[in-house]
Amino acid sequence: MKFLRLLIAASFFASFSTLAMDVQVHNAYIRAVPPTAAVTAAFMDINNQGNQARAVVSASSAAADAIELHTHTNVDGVMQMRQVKQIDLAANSTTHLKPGGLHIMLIGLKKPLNMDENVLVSLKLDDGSLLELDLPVRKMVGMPHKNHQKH
Amino acid sequence: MKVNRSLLYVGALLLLGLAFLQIKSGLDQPDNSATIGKPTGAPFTLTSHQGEVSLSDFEGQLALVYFGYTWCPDICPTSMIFMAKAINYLPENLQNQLQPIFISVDPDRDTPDRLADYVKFFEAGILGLTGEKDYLAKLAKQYGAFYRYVEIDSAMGYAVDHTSDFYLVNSSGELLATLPHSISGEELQAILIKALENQL
Repeated sequence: MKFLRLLIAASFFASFSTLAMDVQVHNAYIRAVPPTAAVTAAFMDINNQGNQARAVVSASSAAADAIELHTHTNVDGVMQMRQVKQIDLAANSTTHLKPGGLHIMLIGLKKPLNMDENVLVSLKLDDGSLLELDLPVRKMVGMPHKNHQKH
Repeated sequence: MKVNRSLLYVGALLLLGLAFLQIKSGLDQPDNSATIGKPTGAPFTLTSHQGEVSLSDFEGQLALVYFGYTWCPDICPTSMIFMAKAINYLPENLQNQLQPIFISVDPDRDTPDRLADYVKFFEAGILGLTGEKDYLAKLAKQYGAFYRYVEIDSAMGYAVDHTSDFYLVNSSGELLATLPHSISGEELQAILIKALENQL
């Protein structure tokens, strides 16, 4: 009986850690904003190596009053930002959260975020697992300049 | 016969109604065409943290104007960085010929003091201005900028949908060029240099 329980616990742990390993976050950062700014956004590449589609269903952080999943769409030149219920992570692919599109929105920053400071953000997936992220605050270098290396 | 006559009356009334609608929409038209017509730019006086600023204060210079709001986490700061970069890459003799201006169309949240701190961050001498809502709405229209406040399901309360273009104007408020934020850095720079050299 005890052995069975252990086995169940072990298999649960194993499956949990496999799931956690299936989804990995790369190139993540929080955009540095002016000290008075009330909002900022986190960007990242989320790689789902699993064979099953996943989704980010919520995010949390102590750094802001609220944290939401947002997207931007360009409708005839008008930029529209809206909250989304979830960010889909298709199986075996990478979902890009990048300027001008999907992002994790931090609303009501509790204190100004300093450059190169790290901010803890956790993402909750639809299977209940959590991705704990330690995100650096980075200044954006701006939109891509063509032939950037010339400068 | 009696029935026919009343039908005639109904028909006449309908025609009258239609004619009225036609006239009404005709009367509305000038207003609509003003928004569709080519934007011309306009002079303006708005508020900075140091008081009133007019476009005419920058005589002999050009201004690069952007309409946005500071609760915009992404598009506006990206555009400001782009603007800052374009200015910092200008030949030195032209740099002080161009005044970059960020106009907040969200005066309820963006006070002049808040705006001043916001634009300072981008290190390009950008001037943060705002004003009365009605004035801003009219001004944006004259520049061909579009924005609207939208209640969204978010802790933000409301967002501002907006176009993201740069407007190059002279100090009389004459619109010289509308540059989309998708323009490349080189293109923007080439247009700025050409316009500024003509100005000299």
